[in-house]
Amino acid sequence: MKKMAFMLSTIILSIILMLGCFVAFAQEKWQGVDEAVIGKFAEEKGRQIKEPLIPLEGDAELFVFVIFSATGGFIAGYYWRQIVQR
Amino acid sequence: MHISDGILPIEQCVVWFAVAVPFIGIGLKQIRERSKTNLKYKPLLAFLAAIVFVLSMVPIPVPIAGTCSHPAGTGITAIITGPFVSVVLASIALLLQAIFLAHGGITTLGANIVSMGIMGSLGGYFTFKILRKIGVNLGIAGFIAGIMADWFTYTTTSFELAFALAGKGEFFETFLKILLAFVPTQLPIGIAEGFITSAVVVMLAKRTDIIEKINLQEGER
Repeated sequence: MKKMAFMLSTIILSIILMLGCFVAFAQEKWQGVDEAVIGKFAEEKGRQIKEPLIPLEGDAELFVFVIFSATGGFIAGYYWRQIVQR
Repeated sequence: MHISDGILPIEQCVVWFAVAVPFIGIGLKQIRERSKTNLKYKPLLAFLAAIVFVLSMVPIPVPIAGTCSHPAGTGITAIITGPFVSVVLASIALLLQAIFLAHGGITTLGANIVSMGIMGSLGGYFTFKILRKIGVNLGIAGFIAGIMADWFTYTTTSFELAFALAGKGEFFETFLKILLAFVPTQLPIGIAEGFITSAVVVMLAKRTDIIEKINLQEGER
């Protein structure tokens, strides 16, 4: 019964989230809050955001994020096994 | 909450580094002491560091607001390891993100450690401790601690930005403006972080074998 309720609420929540995407109010959709808020206020006050140490653009950014996420996930899983081993 | 290079004046960056260093020092000392007596402590820290690293770079879309943001993950680490060790874990994640992922900055690392590492950890830790002390259920205490860790982080970021960007006599107004700009995105993300924190804390509490190995204190169960 609990499992059923959990699955149902997950499905309903997913549908609400998907429907919510169509009424997103931001002018530039799905910008990160770092740019949308921090970057915006910094620019308003005349601050120049410096280039990052390793600039990532286009799919290179996606690639690096995937690699680091996968590595992070692998490390978490590897050490989780060590923790639970008797 | 990742403040990039160039946004904060260099003298303020130095101040934020100076604030962060003692917390990191105490955290490192605690890690050295605890890992001497507990062989499972370092694997636990590696596990938690990976969790914070991944969680704090996952952009979650917020429908309605139309923006994306990420959880901090410091609520989880602060509850399990205490606030000082949690600062060390957050610092590692923030350093890696600043160097390799164009998230945050090197000069602003101190400010980012103060907001996410220190204030996020302290906010989550003390909320959890107080709620458990007054007898609040473990899952609910974890949930509220997760929310607080997130909201403390973004309130501190707003403070740091206002401190750097506000003109004379405009501090409070600028602080409120930045904080309110975070609200549509960070309000739901904070709640999501609450659910994640609660789930991890409840899961760990159910595994009594793990709790014994990692020496979770009585009040944290």
